[in-house]
Amino acid sequence: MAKVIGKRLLSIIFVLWAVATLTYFMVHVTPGDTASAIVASVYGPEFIDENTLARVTEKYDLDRPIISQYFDWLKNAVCFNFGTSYRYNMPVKDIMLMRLPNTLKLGFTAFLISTLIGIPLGIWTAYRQNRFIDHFTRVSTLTLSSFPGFWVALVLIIIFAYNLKLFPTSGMDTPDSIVLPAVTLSVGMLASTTRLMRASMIEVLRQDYMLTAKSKGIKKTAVGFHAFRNAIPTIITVLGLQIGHILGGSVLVESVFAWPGLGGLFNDAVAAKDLPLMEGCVILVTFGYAFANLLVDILYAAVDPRVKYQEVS
Amino acid sequence: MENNLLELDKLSVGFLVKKKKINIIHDVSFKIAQHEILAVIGETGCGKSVTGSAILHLLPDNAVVSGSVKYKGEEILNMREREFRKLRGTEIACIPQSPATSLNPVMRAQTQVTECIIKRKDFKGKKSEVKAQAHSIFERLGIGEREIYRRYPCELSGGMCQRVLISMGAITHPSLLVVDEPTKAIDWMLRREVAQLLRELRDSMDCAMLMITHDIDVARSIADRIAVMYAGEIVEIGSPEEIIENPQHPYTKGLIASLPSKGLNVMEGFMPSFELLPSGCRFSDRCRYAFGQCTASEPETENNGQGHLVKCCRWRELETNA
Repeated sequence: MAKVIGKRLLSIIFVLWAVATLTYFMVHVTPGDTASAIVASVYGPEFIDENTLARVTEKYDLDRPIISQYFDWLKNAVCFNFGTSYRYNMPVKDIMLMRLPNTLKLGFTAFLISTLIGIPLGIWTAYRQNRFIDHFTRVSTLTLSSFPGFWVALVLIIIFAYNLKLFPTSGMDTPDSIVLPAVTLSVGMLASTTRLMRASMIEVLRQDYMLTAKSKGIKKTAVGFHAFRNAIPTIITVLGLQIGHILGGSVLVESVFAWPGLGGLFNDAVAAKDLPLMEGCVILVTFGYAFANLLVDILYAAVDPRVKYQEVS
Repeated sequence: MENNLLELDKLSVGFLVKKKKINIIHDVSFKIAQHEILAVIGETGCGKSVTGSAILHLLPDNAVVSGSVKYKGEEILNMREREFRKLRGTEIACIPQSPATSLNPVMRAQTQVTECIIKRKDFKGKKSEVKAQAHSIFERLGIGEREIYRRYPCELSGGMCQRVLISMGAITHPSLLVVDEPTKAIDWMLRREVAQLLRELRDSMDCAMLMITHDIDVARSIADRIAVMYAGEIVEIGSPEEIIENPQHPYTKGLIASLPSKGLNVMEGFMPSFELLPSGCRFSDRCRYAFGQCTASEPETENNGQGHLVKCCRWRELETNA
């Protein structure tokens, strides 16, 4: 097992490097002059003149060849030093660490909502396969997830914040301000959790060992546990992939709800062409995604003895 | 005949497929006395396992059953699931077929055996006692090594898995054990051993068994009586010696003649599909003794006087000719 984890960690490092490099060059080939973008965002567009531009270019070493800038940046990034944000004039690392807990809070809540609803709903509909409630759940969860996130966000704001005045429209001032962004984020994941849980349960329910379990004359819940226990590995994979959805979705949701997390930060960084901050955010998100999937692999081996066995032999 | 533990009377099972009913088992009747082992033999797909599943209420939802199944004099065929669950395990238990797929792959061997008692609704005793009980059965079945208890099915061999399945059937001390193909997935050497184990189990637990198998050798070595099944019907029932040395039904004759020890004379033709059964006797299209009456009407099941039942309209003539 340790060997497998070691291998995965190595591949995570490679992925991080590849993503960082790709982003670095992609950002540099986007149109627009970096120096003028910095001046515009820090001082305002009216301050753009030759003098200030030259000062900014010198300060951030923007006149050096991209390749040499890239290697300098890479060297620093290995030591977790992602440079100084152009816009906030603060180390990127500090800004991200300040914002990260908020994104984690929002993401975790959204994840909890979609999982706590999706898994029981999936099990329930699997036992009622092709009955009315099954079709109804499928159509309604699919419809909900098909709505674009920003639209769901706006509808929720109009109904629950503007008309009913139940929750604040944006910000993070009161504990209940997390409800609307978390619900928005979870709606997109609900359908896939429900459907995969249902499919995986149906697959398990027709296995021979389910007949064995039934033939034992044990309690209904004990028979159900046999099925659930076998459906877990599939659902863990899905939940791992959903971490990606949360990290991606947070960019949009946090911007709409002015939630002070990483997603909103990334959005601001792109708008201000704040290269070090963008790079830092991308690396952090990549790491989060890769790490979550490493966790999934470890969990997978923990819940399914066959996985361990295959690796040993 | 008061000591009949299980009594099947004209049990028929069909399946609804695309709103059409396909009859599989037709008028199956037999009795199992207490402490008796009845082996049902027949080709793959002749309906042996369906008979077992019908007794255990394990048929899929699209099954249509009729007839009667009496257990200790009580009708159980149409019993409600909640009532029947009380009988499962404690009264009627089963040892399912194919050990490779019948064990839950993500649960330890020991848990799967002990839960037969612990997870019952009326369980009140101590879990450690049940564990000790499971261990003593494991030991009796020759898988007593301590580490086996905690292993997962994927870490056990086919023979070990089969023994774990047998432990599951045995731990509740049922009065009737339905054993489905106990020797299907294991090699020749183990076959004899497993058969021997089952017989010992019957003696020590004092239970009756309905053993479903296609293995005539195993059936002969442990059964008290053998029932021969063909295309969903019982064609002949008798003691192992009678069935093997003095078969009456043309199908049984063919089956016995195809044994390696009897010359390996393989029967011609194949069992018809359940949708295209011949009229009259279901074996008539393969039977070399068939004549007009065989396809005209279904033969009666007759007793030859020594408790040997035959479902063939020509068995008397065939016997005298032979």
